[in-house]
Amino acid sequence: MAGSILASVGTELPRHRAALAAAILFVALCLLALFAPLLTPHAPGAIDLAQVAAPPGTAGGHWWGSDRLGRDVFARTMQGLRVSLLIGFVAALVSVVIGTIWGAVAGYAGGRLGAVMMRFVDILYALPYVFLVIILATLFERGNVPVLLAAIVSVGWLTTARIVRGQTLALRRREFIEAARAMGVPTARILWRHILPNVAGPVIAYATLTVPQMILYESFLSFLGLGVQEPLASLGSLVSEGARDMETAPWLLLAPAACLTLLTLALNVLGDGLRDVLDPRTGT
Amino acid sequence: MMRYALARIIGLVPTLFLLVTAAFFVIRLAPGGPFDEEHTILPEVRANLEAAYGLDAPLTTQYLRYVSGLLRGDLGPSFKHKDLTVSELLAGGLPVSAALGAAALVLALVFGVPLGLYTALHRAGAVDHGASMLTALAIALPAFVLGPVLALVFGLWLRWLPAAGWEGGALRYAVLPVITLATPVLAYVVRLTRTGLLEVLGSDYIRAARARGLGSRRVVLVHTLRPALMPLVSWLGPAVAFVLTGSLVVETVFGIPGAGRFLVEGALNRDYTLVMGMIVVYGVITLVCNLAADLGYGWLDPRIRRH
Repeated sequence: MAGSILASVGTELPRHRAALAAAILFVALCLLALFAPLLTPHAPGAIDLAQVAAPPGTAGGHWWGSDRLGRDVFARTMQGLRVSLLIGFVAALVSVVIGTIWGAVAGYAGGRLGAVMMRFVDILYALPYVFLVIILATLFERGNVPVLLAAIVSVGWLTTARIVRGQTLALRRREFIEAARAMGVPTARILWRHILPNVAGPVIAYATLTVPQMILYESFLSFLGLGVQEPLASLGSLVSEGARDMETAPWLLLAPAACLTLLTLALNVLGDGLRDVLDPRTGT
Repeated sequence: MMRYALARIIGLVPTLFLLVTAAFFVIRLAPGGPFDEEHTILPEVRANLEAAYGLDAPLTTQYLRYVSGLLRGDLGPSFKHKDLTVSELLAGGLPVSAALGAAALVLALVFGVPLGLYTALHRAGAVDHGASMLTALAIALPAFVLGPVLALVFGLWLRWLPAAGWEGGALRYAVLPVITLATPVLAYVVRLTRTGLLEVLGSDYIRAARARGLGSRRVVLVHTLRPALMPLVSWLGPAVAFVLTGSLVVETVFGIPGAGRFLVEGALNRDYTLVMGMIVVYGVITLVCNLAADLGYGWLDPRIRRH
């Protein structure tokens, strides 16, 4: 199954030109974030008092300029990119695992239990996610990364749960599942060996769409001042900082804003492409 | 249909009750209280303050008091904004937020639906390709990036429009915030309208209608418009939640005196009643809009209407 997913992605995705371009852009951004420390002599938190709020250019080696404290904008933006990517991926991974388990159990169990489980998802879905996220984020002291992750995961798993449940409901009635049940295969094993591989395609596609969603939620919280705190920075907190100084030093806003937009754009387009290839409901 | 609608409306009550209960106790789990920042106050003064607001009673008593107040339409006093009740605070901010959100939704629908229909009818044309690229960009652009960038370009560089402020909703001040809020909504409207129409155009009954000679685009559009717009109608409920979230950011970016700021400010200050008031009001708005979208969907779809 894993092989066939790889095979269909390998053969069909290149034909999806936008998704291919997005994949290349995404890989390029990851490489840039990873190898940025080799490209600049400046550390993200290092203060260069000779170059305070310098515009982008060659002065002092600050290509993207420096901020009010003389910190290198390129180095800080790249650090923000790494933090955003890390938080986005970890949150998406946890969300997808929880959503898959929840959806598979709800779909396979059906009946009352399944209905109650999905009603819970519906209620969380119906509310503006900010409630949940803001309340959770303010529960503990600010800048606590595990709490931040918990806050964004609490809304991140809902879509996956719905998708997996829908697929599982359909699979449950198929002959090979009934045969397995008739032969006395334990439920957990049926879920693991038969249901999971069959929902893997759509799950992978939506996982790709969950990553930018998580990155945006985290940035949203950081923008409001509820996310990561100084000296750590994410793209969201850098945008927030930059917006305050945009009148005198617009590069402080534009550098992280451009990185964030390119990153979410690449992941969204890639996710849409993967969904076209991997989700049976979109008809390919 | 009437019975179904009534049952759904009654169904809102337990959901709301759960929301209020969960929110009430979760907020109280947070460390700290509304009078923490006033370090200099004497313990006796603090005790008096807490007694005055009923914070010295056991949590369950406070909860029962809050719920009974809520049933009478009383959201309680604000702990931080002295002399003001939560209702008074919200009455000042909500009309601004509502005007902002409604303007954005209307703008998105007025431009989004025709554009979506056009791109579906001219599939793979230049406009379709351009629109699909722009919608992808609009969805990737969060309000807290688009807002400051628009303010920078049109407010500070070009000086066409004010970069911040509201001035009672004067048009010049409203343009940038409304565009910021409407952009992602517009993108979703275009996408949903486009896929909705494409799906219907590929269905059997349209092919049958075409086979019977109803070939012209206009006739097809008359038969397809209602089913084609149904996904959009069912999305409008969640769209309201989306706009409420977006207005939180837009109000912060442009310094607009709406209600959005009360949520973050109230949560940070442990202004329990203010946060609860926001949750109750926004919760009711979202749940009602979701329900209205569901009922509208049922009303549009005769297969559901009959039951």
